[in-house]
Amino acid sequence: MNYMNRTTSLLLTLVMLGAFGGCKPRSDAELGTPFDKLEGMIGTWELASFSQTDLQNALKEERDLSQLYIDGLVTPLQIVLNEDWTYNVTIEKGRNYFGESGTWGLDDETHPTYLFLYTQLEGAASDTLQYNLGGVVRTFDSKLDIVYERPCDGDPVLEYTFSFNRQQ
Amino acid sequence: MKNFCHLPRRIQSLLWLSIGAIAPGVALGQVVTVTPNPTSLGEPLKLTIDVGQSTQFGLKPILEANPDLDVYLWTWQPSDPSGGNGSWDDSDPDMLMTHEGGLKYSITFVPSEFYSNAGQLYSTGISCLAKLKNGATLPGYEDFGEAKTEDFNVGVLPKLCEDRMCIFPESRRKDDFVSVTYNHNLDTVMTELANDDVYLFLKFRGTDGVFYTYVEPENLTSAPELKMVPVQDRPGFYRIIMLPLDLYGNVLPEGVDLLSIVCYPLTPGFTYPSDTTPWNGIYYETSIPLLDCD
Repeated sequence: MNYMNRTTSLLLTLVMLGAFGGCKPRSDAELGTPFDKLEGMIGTWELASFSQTDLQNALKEERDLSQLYIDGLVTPLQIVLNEDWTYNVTIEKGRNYFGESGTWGLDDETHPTYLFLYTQLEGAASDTLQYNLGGVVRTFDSKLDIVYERPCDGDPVLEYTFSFNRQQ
Repeated sequence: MKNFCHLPRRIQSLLWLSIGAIAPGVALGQVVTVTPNPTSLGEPLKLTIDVGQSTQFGLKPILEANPDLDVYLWTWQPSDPSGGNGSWDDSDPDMLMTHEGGLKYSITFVPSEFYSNAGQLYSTGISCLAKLKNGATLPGYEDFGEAKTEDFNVGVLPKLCEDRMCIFPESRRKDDFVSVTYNHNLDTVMTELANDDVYLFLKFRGTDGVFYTYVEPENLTSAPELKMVPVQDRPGFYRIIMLPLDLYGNVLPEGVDLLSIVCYPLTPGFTYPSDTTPWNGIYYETSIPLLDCD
């Protein structure tokens, strides 16, 4: 294909793409009330899958390590986020990266990015844990993704992705 | 433009199909290619430049008229070559490319040896151009400019670990999950596995500098948590996923923390022949350093 043909083809492709760019159905509906992000989080969440991503690997390799938490015999890790801002964790298999209980919160109740867990040990504040939320969870959503980043001295090292299913 | 939106869906579909047919022709062929890709830093990589697809400067018209002239590689990324490129008017002989026919030229090298620092190979790719030994303007071809191609950059994909022992992730803390994969197919020493059983022998290096053995080799079969499991769909591969924090607590004395892990695969009843050059590191051992950060 010579230079002119390539140029012509490129221009034609761009024109066609641009022409279809405006093909969206027109909506005259009004915006509704925003979903309550806090209400969507409240509930019992059971782990459905678990993976580890190597952030220092050039390919950002991800491995499914669900078998470390889910064996089909015992109840997988569960997190209960209560309306009164308390939370508790039940776990029979796998490492607990969430603490046993405490209080929870979001960085921004309107546009949340992070979930915070303020763990308690013997009634006293123990630790503040921060997790990325995979997406906003609404009351009718049945999935909750939590990404636990594990940087070292500010450098990204690895992260764990916990995917939960809503139980209640 | 929005008129397209009012066309019947079937017509829109046909137009989309025509776009699909046109688009591939728009893409330019690869001027620079590397094979194999993905590749590792320590294996030979063949870089080929198709000067016939060059659109700037004088090398293409020069070679079309003088196909017997030698062509040299000039590269600066991921770093300068270990031996240098030479000078612009006198390329280093090691940078001579092989004529593959037509206007294609290639050079084969091992990135870790060829470049003075290949560490950024996967993030930067290879930046290079092709030139005559003297890259200056060739008399009679002044209108085209210097005897070179334009600058090129080609991406290089990293090959996943293909060693006898592979550790995932590349860095980790003691409370992170660590996957150790053993490729028995590459083992030239422990060539037979008793009942296909493989265990991971572990030594923990404490902050006191002492190595503490988790279970003695002769007792490995009594530690099922160290048994490596065959990897699905990968014959000869065995893997164990461990959490160091769960293992070293009962082995290290109180007040001593964990610095790193040394491990090697072992089948019951096997003993590795002595290492004749232990100062280079025991040949069958793999070290797993641990990050020290909160």
